[in-house]
Amino acid sequence: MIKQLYPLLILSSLLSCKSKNDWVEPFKFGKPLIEIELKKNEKSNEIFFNNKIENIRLLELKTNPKDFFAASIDKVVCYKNNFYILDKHFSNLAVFDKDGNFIRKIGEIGLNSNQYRKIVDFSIDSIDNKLIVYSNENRALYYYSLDDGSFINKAYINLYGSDIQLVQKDSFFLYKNFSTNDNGRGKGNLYLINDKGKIIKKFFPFDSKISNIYWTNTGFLTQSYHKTIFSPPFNDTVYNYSFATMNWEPYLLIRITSDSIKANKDLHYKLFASKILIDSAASYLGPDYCQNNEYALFTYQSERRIKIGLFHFPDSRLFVFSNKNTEDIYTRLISKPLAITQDNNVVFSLSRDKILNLHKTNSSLFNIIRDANKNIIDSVSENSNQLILIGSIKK
Amino acid sequence: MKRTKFAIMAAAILFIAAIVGYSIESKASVSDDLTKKQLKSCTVTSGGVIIQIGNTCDGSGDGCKANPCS
Repeated sequence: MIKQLYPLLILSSLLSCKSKNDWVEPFKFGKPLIEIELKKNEKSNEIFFNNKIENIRLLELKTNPKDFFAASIDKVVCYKNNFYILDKHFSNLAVFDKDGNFIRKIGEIGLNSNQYRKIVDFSIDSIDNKLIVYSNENRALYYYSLDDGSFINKAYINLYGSDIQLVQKDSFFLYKNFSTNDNGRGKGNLYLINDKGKIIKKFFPFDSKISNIYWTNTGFLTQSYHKTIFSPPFNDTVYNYSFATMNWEPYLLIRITSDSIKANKDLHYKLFASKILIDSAASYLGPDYCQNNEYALFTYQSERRIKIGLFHFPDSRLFVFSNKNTEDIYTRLISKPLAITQDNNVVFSLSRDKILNLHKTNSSLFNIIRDANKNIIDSVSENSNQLILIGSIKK
Repeated sequence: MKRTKFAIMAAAILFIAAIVGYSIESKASVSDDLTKKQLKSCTVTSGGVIIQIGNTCDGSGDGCKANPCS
């Protein structure tokens, strides 16, 4: 009798294991290595931008509109002395040299099979010398040569997401950002996938019933100096992917999330529909993070402002740039941190309109910027409203 | 005899639980709507102060709310 039940037992155990085998729990590795008490010391760490950043210069992207037109600068990757610049608004991706001279555009938007529908992110494969564009409109990866920007091939991954990061040859992290549109394949906020879209592992589980909100003001997936970094929305912990354990490990703890957000962080519609996020007591980590061996540069929201934190690892010292200080011209003008280079140069996006607006509201401050960057401010360019600010961190 | 009965009962319960779990899982998959639009958060500032965390739609069509960030 028992023997007759064996097939039944095997079948039931197989069914009960369905979809559980690729789950990884990411929270088993103890405390993060480094802690930043951001909220506690915020005020005393505030510093004027030009007291910490020197050799500030503005870089104009020199191109003509038929080649490249930037409505926004959403991502910059500094690779082999060139800037790879993504404008998500118009789905434009182009390469510029270190002086802002246009080199080439990477692919183009269109309906042909070698044209992308929309770019949400890109990643550089330095080993195979390729650039990979991710379009979530048709859920495909487009491969281009880094040598001449020529189209190589396209692969459908059939998964929606907001960010993609190459991990090793033909495998990627896809940050789903709570997308539930993959016909039940959701429930993990971060996937390790291959170039055909096969899910190898799922990380950071979430309940697909709680949200289809794609958070652009918090949470990030990025790569900085051989570290692949991830932080879920409304979370204080920054995780680093370990190739040794093949898992995410807590790396940095930035104590910033306010109690009201902690209490509601899984209730997305409540956060979205109520005024919790814009309450003056609300604070949380933003969507921008980059680092090198010495510094971490990130944004966060506090006191209804988007502030910038610069953390020095060797001294455990934090510096805060806040646009609350009306005399701190540069912090008022910069939009978001885009990159930090190995030699401690920081890169920010900046809008020309903001500078010209300053002319109307505070002409003395405007003149300081104009004197330092006369050629750029005075030149009228229809090509790009966006500038890049580059500076070096003072020792 | 008692042991055999218990084993049969346990196996039957396990089997039914697995089938129920499997159907719930399958149903969840089917109920996901591929055409469902995902809202995208956006921040509106004035004079450096955040005045609204609004939403825009990733895509266009029915179900999209007005875009306060355009």
